Amino acid sequence: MIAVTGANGYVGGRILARLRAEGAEAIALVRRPDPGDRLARPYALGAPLPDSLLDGVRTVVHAAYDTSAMGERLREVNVGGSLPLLDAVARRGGRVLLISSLAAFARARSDYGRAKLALEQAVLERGGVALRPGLVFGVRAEGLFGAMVRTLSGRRLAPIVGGSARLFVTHDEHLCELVGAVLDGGFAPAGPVFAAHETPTTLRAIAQQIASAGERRLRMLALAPAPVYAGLRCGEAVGLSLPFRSDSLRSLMNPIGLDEVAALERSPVVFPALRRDLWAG
Amino acid sequence: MSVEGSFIVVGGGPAAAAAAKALVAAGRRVIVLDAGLSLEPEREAARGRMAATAPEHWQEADVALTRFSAGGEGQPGYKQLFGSDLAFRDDGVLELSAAAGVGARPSYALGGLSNVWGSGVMAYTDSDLAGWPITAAELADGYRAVLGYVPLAAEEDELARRYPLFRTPDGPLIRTPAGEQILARMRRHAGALAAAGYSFGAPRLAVRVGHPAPSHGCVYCGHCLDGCPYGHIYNAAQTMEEMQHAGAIDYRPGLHVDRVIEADGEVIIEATPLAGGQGVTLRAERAFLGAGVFSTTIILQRSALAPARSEILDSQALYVPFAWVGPAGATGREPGHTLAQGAVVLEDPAVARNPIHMSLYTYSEDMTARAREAHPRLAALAGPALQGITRRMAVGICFFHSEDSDRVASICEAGSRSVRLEPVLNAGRPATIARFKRSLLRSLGRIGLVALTPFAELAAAGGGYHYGSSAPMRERPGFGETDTLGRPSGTRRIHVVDASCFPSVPGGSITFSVMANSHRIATAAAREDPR
Repeated sequence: MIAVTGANGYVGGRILARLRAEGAEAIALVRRPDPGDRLARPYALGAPLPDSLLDGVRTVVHAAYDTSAMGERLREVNVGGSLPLLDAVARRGGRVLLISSLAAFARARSDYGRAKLALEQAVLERGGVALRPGLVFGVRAEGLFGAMVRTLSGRRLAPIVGGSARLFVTHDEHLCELVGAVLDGGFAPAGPVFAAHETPTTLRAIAQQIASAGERRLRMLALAPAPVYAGLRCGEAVGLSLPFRSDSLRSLMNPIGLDEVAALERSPVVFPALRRDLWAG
Repeated sequence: MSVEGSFIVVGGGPAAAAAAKALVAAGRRVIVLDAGLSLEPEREAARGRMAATAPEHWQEADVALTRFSAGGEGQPGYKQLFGSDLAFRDDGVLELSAAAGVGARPSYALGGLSNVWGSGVMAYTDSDLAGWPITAAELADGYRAVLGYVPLAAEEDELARRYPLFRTPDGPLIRTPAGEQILARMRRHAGALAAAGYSFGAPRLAVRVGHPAPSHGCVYCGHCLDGCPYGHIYNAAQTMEEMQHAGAIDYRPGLHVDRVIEADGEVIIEATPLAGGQGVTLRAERAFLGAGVFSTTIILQRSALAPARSEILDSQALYVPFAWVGPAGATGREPGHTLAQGAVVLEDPAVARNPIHMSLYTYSEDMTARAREAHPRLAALAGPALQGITRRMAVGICFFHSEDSDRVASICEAGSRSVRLEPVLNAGRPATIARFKRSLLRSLGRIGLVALTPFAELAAAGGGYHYGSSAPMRERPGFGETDTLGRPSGTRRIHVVDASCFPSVPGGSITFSVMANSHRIATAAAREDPR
């Protein structure tokens, strides 16, 4: 049996749905499962593990990630909070497949990237697998791509920050396919896996593409990253709930170096570029 | 010395490698005669140490030794390999003198000019081959065969619609942030650019992009312009060495071929050992001259197969600096590859009769380092301002068709050891370049890519190293010309396989077409002799 954490989230949800569609026995590990749902068990990062949580489970796809914390606390919640699960799986001779990120790399400056990197190390040390997707897109996209699709449709003018930074994109269904390839045992990588289209793009190009699907030419107002970053930090300091986190901007502005991309393991799944038919349905 | 039943290839560069490869594939015994100069042992040792580890572990002394050092020729187009002038070093056999205004020199290195090439692999189209006795379709098999052993980093982008890729690329070579900016800008204004005759896209480069890096592909260390320590930029020396190690060819370096004579159904080749001593005579079933245009032309002249004054056509190079407006981003702060970031083609009959090809190179730390070495006082004065400006700089290396370029005359009497190179000016060239500069200012200026045309520098004739045509292929060749299999008029068993047999030199990358044509000739020649 396969268990998926973060199954209420976008990527975890897609993976769970795909596994079930392919006939695999897959359960969801979520914070508050519906009482009648026999295919869901309660699990939260950092919380004590219920005894029966992993009964019958051979593999855990770990996609849960808590973005509400910041700085040191973020690392504590996500890395420290995952260790009991990772250890429990290892004790039972099972394996963890971590949904990491291309934001995770040795010289990463974002809290998110550094936390994912630490998590990767913990997973790899225990014989697990780490996949690094880029910006995930698809028909039912949430996250940054989903937000862009929702806000850009019909717009003629949009502010943009970090629009020319290099960005790799990952089609969600292909990511699920890669997860399948790892679970089948057909692909056993030794290190973190590059799980994105090989040719990078930029936020600006993506925005333009989304806008042109609505047959409009989008004019973009480029904002300087430094003041936007400062503004976000101030807002976060006074506890405002903002649509975009300062840490995400830091991650966007300091993308993974090409030398590190080149050194990553390659997947047997060839990831496509951002094509309209892959996200517009 | 008699070698019956062998096919002899002269040279060690791309043309010779492609001919040898095709002959081996056709099951022939192949001997390669080459001057075959190689890298100095201390530089080769440093390169080897660098290749054995990741860039962050390179020793400073090794990096310093294998970096470009000023003091070489200051002219544009002059490049070093791992800090060495290997590709342009004289083998000392000929008395070669070049008049002012000639920028070319022959290469005697194993690998020839592919030691320092820009690694562009874009094929010629039918419009490039106007006036040739062969068509692009006849070169297609050659292009495909060459890409069987030459790596291809490319993208299936807008340029691929016009210029076929011939095979699925190994992957993209990821651009620098500046390269990405410039290409994105062009894409946004693709319509206006197309109306002005410009097409553009990712460059096609003969660079390995496999994984994991650095063992199987580019690691983006930024050392490209000095030579890839890992050998990921294709060099014809690799093909030669592979064939030699596999025992497929008999590679004989240290020889300078003086003369070829066809007699009694075989070819006699006379050569001089570089180390001195007695001349060597070999006999072969056929000979393939792929020594590089200057060397091959001189061999033909000394063998009385070409006139004592032979003109070499050049695809002249113009170096145009560009500045762009907008954020510099992370440009230059991270290493990246330092080869061409973009390929641009201008087809506008109001500017030039033939397409003009431009390879765009963006700023790298390397460029500032070179500028500092070349102008230390200016660099000291300009300081940080220079950084700000150079980060927004790119250089376009533009290649014109040989019809729009100056030429080089090679003057050598049959049997003589003295060779003189002289420039031959093209009266129409200045006006073409002026029209081209105006087009750049108008069309690229409009999208924020400003050509600094007053600072553009034209390479001397031959200085862009894209030349040929001293023994052009013709349907009915006369003296000094060759047939469609590169055979000088009156011969049946001597084939010219390098760019010497090109009827013209189109703008754009030349090496790929040289190799494809060499493959075509060698494959057809091998079929002519039943075994």
